[in-house]
Amino acid sequence: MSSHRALRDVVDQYYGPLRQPAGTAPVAWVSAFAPVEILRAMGLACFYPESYAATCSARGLGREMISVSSQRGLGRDVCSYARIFYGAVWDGLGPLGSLPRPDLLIATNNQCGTIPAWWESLQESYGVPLFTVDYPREQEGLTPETLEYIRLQHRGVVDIARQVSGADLDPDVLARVVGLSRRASDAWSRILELRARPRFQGEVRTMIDALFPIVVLRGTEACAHYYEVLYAEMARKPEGDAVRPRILWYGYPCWFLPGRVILPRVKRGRIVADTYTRWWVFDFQSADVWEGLSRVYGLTYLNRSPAEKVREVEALVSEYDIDAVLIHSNRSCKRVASAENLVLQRLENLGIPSVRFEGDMADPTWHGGGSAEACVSALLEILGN
Amino acid sequence: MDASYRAEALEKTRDAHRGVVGFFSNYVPEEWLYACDLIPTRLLGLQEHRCGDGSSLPGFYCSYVRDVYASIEQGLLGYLDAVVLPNTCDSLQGVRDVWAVGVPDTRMYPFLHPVRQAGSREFYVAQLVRLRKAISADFRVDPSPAALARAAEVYNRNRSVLARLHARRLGKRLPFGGADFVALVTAGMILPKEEHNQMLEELERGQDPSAGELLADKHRLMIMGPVCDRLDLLDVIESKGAVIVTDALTNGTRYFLYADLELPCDDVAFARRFERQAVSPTVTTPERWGFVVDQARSFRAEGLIFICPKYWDPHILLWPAVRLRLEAIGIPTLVLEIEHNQSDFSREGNLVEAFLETLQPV
Repeated sequence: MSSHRALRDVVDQYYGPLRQPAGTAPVAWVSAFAPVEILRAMGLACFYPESYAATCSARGLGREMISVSSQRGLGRDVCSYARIFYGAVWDGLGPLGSLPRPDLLIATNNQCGTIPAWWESLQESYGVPLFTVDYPREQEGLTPETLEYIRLQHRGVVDIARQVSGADLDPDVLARVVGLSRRASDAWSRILELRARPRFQGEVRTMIDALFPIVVLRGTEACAHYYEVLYAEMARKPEGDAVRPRILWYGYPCWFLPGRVILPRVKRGRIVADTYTRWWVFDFQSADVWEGLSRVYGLTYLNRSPAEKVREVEALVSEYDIDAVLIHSNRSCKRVASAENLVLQRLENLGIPSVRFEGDMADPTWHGGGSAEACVSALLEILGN
Repeated sequence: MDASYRAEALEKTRDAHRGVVGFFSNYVPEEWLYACDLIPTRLLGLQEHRCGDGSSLPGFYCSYVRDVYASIEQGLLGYLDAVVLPNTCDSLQGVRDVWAVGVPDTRMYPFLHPVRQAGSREFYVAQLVRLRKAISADFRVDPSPAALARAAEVYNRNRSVLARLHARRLGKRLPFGGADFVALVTAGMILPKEEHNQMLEELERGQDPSAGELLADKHRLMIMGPVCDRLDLLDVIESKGAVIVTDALTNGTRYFLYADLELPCDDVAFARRFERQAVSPTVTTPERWGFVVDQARSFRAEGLIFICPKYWDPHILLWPAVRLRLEAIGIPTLVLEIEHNQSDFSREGNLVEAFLETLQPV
């Protein structure tokens, strides 16, 4: 089977239950880094508002949906995912038309502090139970108290999911679902290792778009299978010419751009790596399923300290043999932005040229005027192109 | 809020104490700091300073946090010996992230309050213990139970007198405007608590509850939002033919209602207080709405103005819920998105004027 076919299976499996008439199967609206393995093991279908907003932006619907939100009081400085999504809630805009009605809302704060309030407003609109999982953002790893606190909350997710679905959690099913997430993550990690090869041929957009299954369908056979097929395909792919300069993209993609990032207009050189695709490499190695879930979701990329983010950039620079770094300072995400100065400092110490430009992940209106392109050109000038 | 006044007040008193500790949010255990003979002082913005280029925080962090952080970074809050930084929002967490590089000479203690969820009491206690240990070690102080009880008494007294003064706003006469009342609460976050208590009690004694301007021709409004130290905005609102009769602000009723510390004031007492307090947007609980609706109804608010500084996402994303919840009980709403360091509120004044016109005539 080709990866295209496997991806079609993923799409069918994700949207299938969401297109069923209300009441057919319980649906949970979840944030991107929610512990969905628990929900899947209990038979709930999951819908991802942030991913939906990214899809709408990628399909060129962002402006229209943002305009609806602005008219209702969400100004242009609010997270663009939230603004786009409210365009769908309030006016039924977006490719799905009417959204699958939620039976349960699960919010997490392991990616940002915006999600809990956003979900609380969704609860007000839909009148269904909400559970916010609190993942304290420790600077020096998770303490035993924090691990215990997260574990207790994960048990709380089980309780509320049971109330909604009427199903009990079978520990064996949970272990199997976590195993599927681990398979997907391991295969994705191997793909990223392939990408580090000097002659690897793969566009940034291909890599970023390939994230869809691990974002929306973790813990399923279809998702794990997709990445295993994709890995096999990519491993067989003929190698191309080695290119210089090799550029690292730091931060979110710009979903509304055809290439998902600002592509350097140069004869040689290209973006060979990005930090965003690494966010979905999870460490599900723990022998204890509950501890593993606590560690994975307590230590998401966005919940880590800036020091760790700096270390990760250093590792990428070395692993991918990077010549320069482009930093996309995303107005919609303060969690990434707080480490940017430290990253810039470290890169300077390493002698790696870098530039930072301000943009947005989903709102194209922040991308006008060509200033981002000017930053990229400046970087290339530094590199002597 | 006048920054030089605050600096002067703190400079005057700090030598008689172990030090001055700045903090954000209503969840930081002020009483414990006070019992350590430290002066807890709420960090507020300095509008006259203007955070500008050169701050370590990006321009899309809220101007309140950027303003405070730039002030610390540039030594304008030189009287601070330490700062307690909670995890209230991503902007404050960003401050924590850049602290070690930006202001290495001032001690910073993180305080990660939980949301109200399974296990949150134990987690709050664990964070409190961590904070206590760090401050005790650095300032070589370990307050006695008697010192803690005394601190609780001073703070509880402060909250009760504020609650009594607030209750006077229920009537048909206006004992003080909304801007004045928020100023009263905010002053207590800066002044030494005993001095503030004395001022409040004098005010309470000296005021005739049956006196005051008759409110017959003014619309009764409630305001909601995070910290609002731009009292001039509240003045603008009230200058348009309205009076602010209650609020759900961090430096308003949320500071003193349901926030008494029980005795004995051990770690669990602090955690229980956290569970009772009126919540900020970063603590998700349906109890939020009980508080807001109760304030709006009890004080017969005819409309609610939701004030939100730009880039303060957790607050602004509550706006759709606020509108649904309040309009369901017949209270129209207006959102005002502002910059903390905005120089003029005439645009907001126009919006308020238009909003008041939509309300039923008084």
